[in-house]
Amino acid sequence: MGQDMDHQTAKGDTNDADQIIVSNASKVIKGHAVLSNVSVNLKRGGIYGFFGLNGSGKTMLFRAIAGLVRLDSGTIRVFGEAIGENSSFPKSLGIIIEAVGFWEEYTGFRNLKLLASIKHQIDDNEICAALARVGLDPSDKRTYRKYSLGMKQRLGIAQAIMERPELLILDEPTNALDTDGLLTVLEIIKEQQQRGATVLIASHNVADLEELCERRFKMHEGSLSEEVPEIEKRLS
Amino acid sequence: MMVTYKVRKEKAHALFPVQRVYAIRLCIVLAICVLAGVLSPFGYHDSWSILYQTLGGGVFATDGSVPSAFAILLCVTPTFIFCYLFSDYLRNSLEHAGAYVFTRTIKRGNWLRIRLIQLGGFVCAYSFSGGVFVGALLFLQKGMLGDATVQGWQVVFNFFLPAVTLNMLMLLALLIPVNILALRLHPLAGFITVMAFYFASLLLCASAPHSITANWAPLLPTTQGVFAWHDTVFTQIMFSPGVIEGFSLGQSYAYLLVLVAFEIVFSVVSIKRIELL
Repeated sequence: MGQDMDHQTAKGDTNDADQIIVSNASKVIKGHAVLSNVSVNLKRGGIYGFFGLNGSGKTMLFRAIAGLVRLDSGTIRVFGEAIGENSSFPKSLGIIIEAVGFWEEYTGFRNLKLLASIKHQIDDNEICAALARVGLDPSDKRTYRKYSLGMKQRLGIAQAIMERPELLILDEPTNALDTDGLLTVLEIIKEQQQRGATVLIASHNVADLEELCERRFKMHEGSLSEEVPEIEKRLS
Repeated sequence: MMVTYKVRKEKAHALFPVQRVYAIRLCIVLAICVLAGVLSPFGYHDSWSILYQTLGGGVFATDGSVPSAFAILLCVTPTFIFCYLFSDYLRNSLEHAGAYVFTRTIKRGNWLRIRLIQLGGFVCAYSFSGGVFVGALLFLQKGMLGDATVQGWQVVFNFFLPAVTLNMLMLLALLIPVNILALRLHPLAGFITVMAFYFASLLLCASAPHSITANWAPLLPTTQGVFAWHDTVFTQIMFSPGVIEGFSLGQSYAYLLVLVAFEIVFSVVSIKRIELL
């Protein structure tokens, strides 16, 4: 009996290590349910889209997965780590979240260099490569303050991908981007998946990212439901 | 194909912008202290008062007479300025690119540990440079410290280290709760709450009869930083009316260390509950 239990636990852990498991996640802020009993399992290596109107709870779900907010009830496990218990944040995470800025008096390169100095995983050349990949000039001497909205968004994407994280959480990654920028982001997301990253994307604009996503979820007033593709609906 | 980019050489020791801002603030506090010290020969205070002002907690217990609140306020002004300028240290660190920095530290405790070490570094730099400045000023004002009550260089060295250490611990004990309250409420709320308690307790102890102060001062957290009240060979020489018998420096070090440790534990609990909305 004891051996069976151990075996089950071990097996469960193995499965956990390749999944993001959100179980009954709920969060209430000022009397308003921003997450309402959300449960979802996401396999490693996929691209998952979360769509919904502004204020539907996408960002809050992403913040919870990233460990930036605490759930009132429910659990989140990211690749075997219980967020808020084993570790505060997923160990290998790249994230873009709305309304998080950089240090305005520094250049894009300097901003990324400061962030990279926390983990010491990458060198200057890799920082430059990340900047170039999003279409920014690594030797640009303009400070972040003088960046356009599109450039700020590109810099956000560069900081998210530069350390080649296992999990990428992109909240509205196409905001403020022109057509060229949008195509670049789509390419980057595909590249990240090809190297093995799991990508979670939130957008209020379904058309931008719909085709990329292996599974799509709709958020409405804090509740999550999976959208079944039309062809599967017909088959079933 | 590997592409190599040419970028300007960055200094490895470059401070994060937030730390740079606070380094500037530290210089401002020290400049105020220097200004007060330089102007003091023309004003109200003698050179020993400057020392106590700069090292903080410069309150003289009375043996019956009541000191004015203004005099005590002057003595603790450098501490107030320092605590005010550093009251939002944790909050500012969290607000600037907070989510990007926070998530890279893996554990919230790691983030807090680094910030508290940095805060401790600023406190040490302030206390130490303040002490050095006062030592230099005293040296200039009193010649070779040939004052009848002071026994030369030996006092400077023996006095300097215990006073600076006490000041560091007291400042840390004040700054940590100020910063935690700033995180949860507002920097000004944190500053006012802690400093009001600090000032009120010093004023009460300094104004109360010596027998009452002698009973209460060793028990209160805020009075531990008042070097002048401690029962040491140096304070007995210089401030015999203010000394509280049996109020030893060792006891205050231990008290403040335990207090700071307790505050750190409380900070860890608080930071685990902080949400980046």
